[in-house]
Amino acid sequence: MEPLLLFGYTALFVALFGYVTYLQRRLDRIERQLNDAR
Amino acid sequence: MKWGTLLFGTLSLVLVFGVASETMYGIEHGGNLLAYWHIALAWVTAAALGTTFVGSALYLRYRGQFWSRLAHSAGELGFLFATLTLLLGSAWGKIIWNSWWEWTDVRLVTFLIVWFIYAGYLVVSSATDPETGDRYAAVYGVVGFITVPISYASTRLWTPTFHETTIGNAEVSANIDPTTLVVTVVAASFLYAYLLGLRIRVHEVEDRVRRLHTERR
Repeated sequence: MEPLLLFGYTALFVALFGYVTYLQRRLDRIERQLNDAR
Repeated sequence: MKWGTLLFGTLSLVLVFGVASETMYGIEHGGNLLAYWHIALAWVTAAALGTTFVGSALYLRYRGQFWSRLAHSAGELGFLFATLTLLLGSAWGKIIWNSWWEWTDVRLVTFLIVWFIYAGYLVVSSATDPETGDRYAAVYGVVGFITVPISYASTRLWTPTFHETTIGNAEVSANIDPTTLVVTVVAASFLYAYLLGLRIRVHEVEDRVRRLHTERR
């Protein structure tokens, strides 16, 4: 596979999966905080 | 939305890597396949920044917290998509223009201005108090949006050097497979809708936690 193609799609996947994981972990954490606060 | 993203995302990758031609603008190179997600991301960037504009305008009119959450969530996603559009576009440009960046190309420069405008939007949103800062961010979201249609229409407004006008241009020279492009745009749209829902949910729960803490003081 061409290095530029590999770089481009790797960057895309890392950024998108990283962002989804970050949002889901953040949501889990604040939902726990909400339950604790109740 | 999650399953739509997975289904169309997989289908898009199958088409990009299995069906689409590697030859564009007369240059045969595997890196040309970056074009499909570059274009799809540019379209969802416009959709996200358009949502920020609508959400900001409706927040200024009706003051509902939902509009503020919608505007900020879409702004954050728009910034992420714009960054990826620039990154993939730069790598693709290295193949077809033999250059990572061209300051003479009006689309590139105006899109970079959009990127800076929305970086500023995120700074304004995060640097101001959540209660009053939403108003400043909303004004910024409405005014800053003017750069988006300018960037997308730039190849018609000024003489393009590298980016050519594609929509409604019968003489377009990019050899882009329409089915692959449409499937990729649908996949990117599902991804945008899924991420937008998730980001709004994070805002909602954060606001509830903040309210609970305020009530207990």
